Amino acid sequence: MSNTTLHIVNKGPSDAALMHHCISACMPGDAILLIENAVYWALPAYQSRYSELEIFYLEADAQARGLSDTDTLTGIAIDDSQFVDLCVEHSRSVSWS
Amino acid sequence: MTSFLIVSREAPYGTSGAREALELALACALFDQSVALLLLDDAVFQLLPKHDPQNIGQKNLSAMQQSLPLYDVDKIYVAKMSLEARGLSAEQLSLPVELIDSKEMGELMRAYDRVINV
Repeated sequence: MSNTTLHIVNKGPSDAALMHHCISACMPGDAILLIENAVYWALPAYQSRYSELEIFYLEADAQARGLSDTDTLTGIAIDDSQFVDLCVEHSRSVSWS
Repeated sequence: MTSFLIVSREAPYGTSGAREALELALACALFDQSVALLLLDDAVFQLLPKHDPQNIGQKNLSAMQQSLPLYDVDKIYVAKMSLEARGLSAEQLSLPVELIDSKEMGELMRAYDRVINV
């Protein structure tokens, strides 16, 4: 397994500095997982920030917040068991909160 | 009668802030006080339609929001900058709102006797 990191973010765009730090800390091969209020970061308005980054978001959290138009969202929708898979696939996980 | 402006900055789920702001608005209205809401930052997400929070174990806020006009909480102000920064427009929101500029915020607050940040 290569030495990669899963970055987990749970705060929405009100806390822009948090996402800024997270993106700065991303290395090639890392992934960002958007959970809870961070799913709003998957909206089209923020898409340009993530060029060349692998983005995932929790589908239940997006659905809860009325973000059901998945075609417009950035990243891949995942469920809880895929969340576990992601954690296992990466060497470490970092919770940004 | 006292007039209240309730200010919320929180997204609808994930924290209890949005619910508390709504409960406060409805409580003020129940006591026949004049009340308005001001949504800033991530609070603009509160009015996105089609909430479905069953799978995250939270209660849907939509019903409570839709009752606001019935309780005469008919003024909902939304910060224009917060909305635009999120790529949203007033037409996408589930209730009619009045957009305000950051320059107008001070004036808005002066129009109310009490301003409460929830």
